[in-house]
Amino acid sequence: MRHALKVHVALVTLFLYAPLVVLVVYSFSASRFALRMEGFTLEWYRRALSNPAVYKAVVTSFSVAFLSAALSTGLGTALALAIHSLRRAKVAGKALLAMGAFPLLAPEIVLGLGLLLFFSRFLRPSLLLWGLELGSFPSVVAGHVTLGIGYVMYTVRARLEHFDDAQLLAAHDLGASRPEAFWTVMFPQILPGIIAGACLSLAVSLDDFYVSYFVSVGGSGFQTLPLYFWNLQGRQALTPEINVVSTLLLGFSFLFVLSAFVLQKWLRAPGEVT
Amino acid sequence: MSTGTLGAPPLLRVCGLRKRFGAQEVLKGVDLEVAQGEFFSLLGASGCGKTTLLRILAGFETADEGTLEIGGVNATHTPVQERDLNLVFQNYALFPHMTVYENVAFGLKVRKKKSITRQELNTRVENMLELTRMSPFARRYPGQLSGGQQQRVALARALAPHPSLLLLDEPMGALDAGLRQEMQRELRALQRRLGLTFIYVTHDQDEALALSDRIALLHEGALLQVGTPEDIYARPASRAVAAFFPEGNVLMATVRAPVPGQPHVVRAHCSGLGVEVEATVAPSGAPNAPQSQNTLHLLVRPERLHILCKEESRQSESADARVESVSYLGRERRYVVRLANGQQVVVSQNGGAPIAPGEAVSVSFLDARLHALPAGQL
Repeated sequence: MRHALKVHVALVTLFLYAPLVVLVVYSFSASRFALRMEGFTLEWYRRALSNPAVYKAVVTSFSVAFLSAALSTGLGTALALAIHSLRRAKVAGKALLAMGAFPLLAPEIVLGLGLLLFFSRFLRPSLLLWGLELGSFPSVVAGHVTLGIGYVMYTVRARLEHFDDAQLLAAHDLGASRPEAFWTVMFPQILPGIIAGACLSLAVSLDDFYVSYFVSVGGSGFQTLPLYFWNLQGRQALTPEINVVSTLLLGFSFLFVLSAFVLQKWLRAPGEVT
Repeated sequence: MSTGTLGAPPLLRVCGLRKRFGAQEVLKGVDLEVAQGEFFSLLGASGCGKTTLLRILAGFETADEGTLEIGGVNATHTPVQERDLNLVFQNYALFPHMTVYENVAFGLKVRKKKSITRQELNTRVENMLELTRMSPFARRYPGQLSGGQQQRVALARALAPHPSLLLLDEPMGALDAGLRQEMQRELRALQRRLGLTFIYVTHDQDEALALSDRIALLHEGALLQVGTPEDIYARPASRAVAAFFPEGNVLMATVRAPVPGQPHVVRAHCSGLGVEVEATVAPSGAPNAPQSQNTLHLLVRPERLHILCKEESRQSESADARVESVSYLGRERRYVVRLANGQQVVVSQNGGAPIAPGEAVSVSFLDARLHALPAGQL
């Protein structure tokens, strides 16, 4: 029985990670083609890292990711706190919760299309009336924020569920003002959730294709990494360079998700329930 | 009804406190005075308004009407963080992300007005930890402590800012019975040692009796009686107070004559036991003052009745009865006994040979003078 379980775990792990391992292995291929494995070289890493188009896409991707993650974190945390304070008012709390969660569950392609329509039909024309132009960068950031808010809301809420509000009263009773009570008692306890949410929204933003594709204004030269891949297709034979860039992207995503877990563990007080 | 007024100027004075939540009136005009150094309990069943009263004292809630004075200063509208009192929460509400030491230091760090040096702060926190025997655990987190230890931390944290009044909201609620008794003793000793004023909220009658200097019994938003544990238990002002401690026997008696020289004492005939007794009654002049031929309701607690096997003795001042059931409770036996007139009474007895159900016994009062419940409050 225990043996069967081990085999099961091994198979699932294989199923989950084999494609990623293959990708990483192929990024070292000496072949000219992305789908062939011949020999070992770091040449494609050198080329990828010195390719100005790749460099530009990396910078764009990270700028979008950090900016949208920062905004999602602020807005998602505020939303989680609002839901927490409304948890006695069942309908309002649940409605807010569903509202924040919906973008997580909605098909991303639908979300992308919706954002495209909203931006191109409503937001851009109305901004133009004020003489403002909405470029690709802010549009994509805004789109990624809609994705990120839900993650932050969930991770912060998970922390809030274990938070006893009597602690705020206790702090207040001991002489703390309301803001002091929040910053010294509540904030440190939800911080792991906030950080986890921030890391997840970073990863989601780096990974996103649909929203970026639909929302960015075509032809402006705006490219996140996933858009860069997309644009490579069909133009030329794919070289292992694409595997290299994918491996790097994978590495960053992994780093963010891992740090979300590690930070949560590290920030938790010993013996704390969660 | 006694008003709980004291001679010395009180530390806490509550006047005409009213609070309404929607259609429900939770506090119906509460007046209280608590003296400096008193261990004062607010006793009542859940929903009686004791928690609301406590929250108003702490400042978490504002009263619709009435005033609140702490140390002679009107504190009705003083913000929570400026009140010279601290609260020990029911579930302690410790800060789980801070060590024991940091929890205790919180109130001292946050009150910038009472600027104290780093050294003073350390000394005070260490004193508090020593007082509550938590010094060895200063570097631990609340999640690593047992229930009793957490309670001590909560106590130390609330005491550290040196409040002149400590509120305790059912602090023993989460502890098991054995630990509870130990903590009760410790709490009482601590209060005596510090000479602090404690206001202790509980629904546990035994706890209130064991700990308090005085008890205020709260029922449906109004004070039924304020008095010493003995007043409340043995000399309840009304049937509702008497009923708060279960198994009080109420025996009917007929007033025969006043006792000369003692205004509130009458001789009466208790029909259930068929004996003459003396009874203290409500002060004359009160609407329920006794008159000749009036019926009295005598309150007799189970341990103030005595039973003996019929063969063993034949006292003059006793009545025939029959044991219906008996339960053995360790330190006592509790008998349900049916009197000759058909009334059931509960008798609690420690020691003596057990008496089996069905046996004939004689019942007598242990006290020469009994307490009569005011009439008209049935």
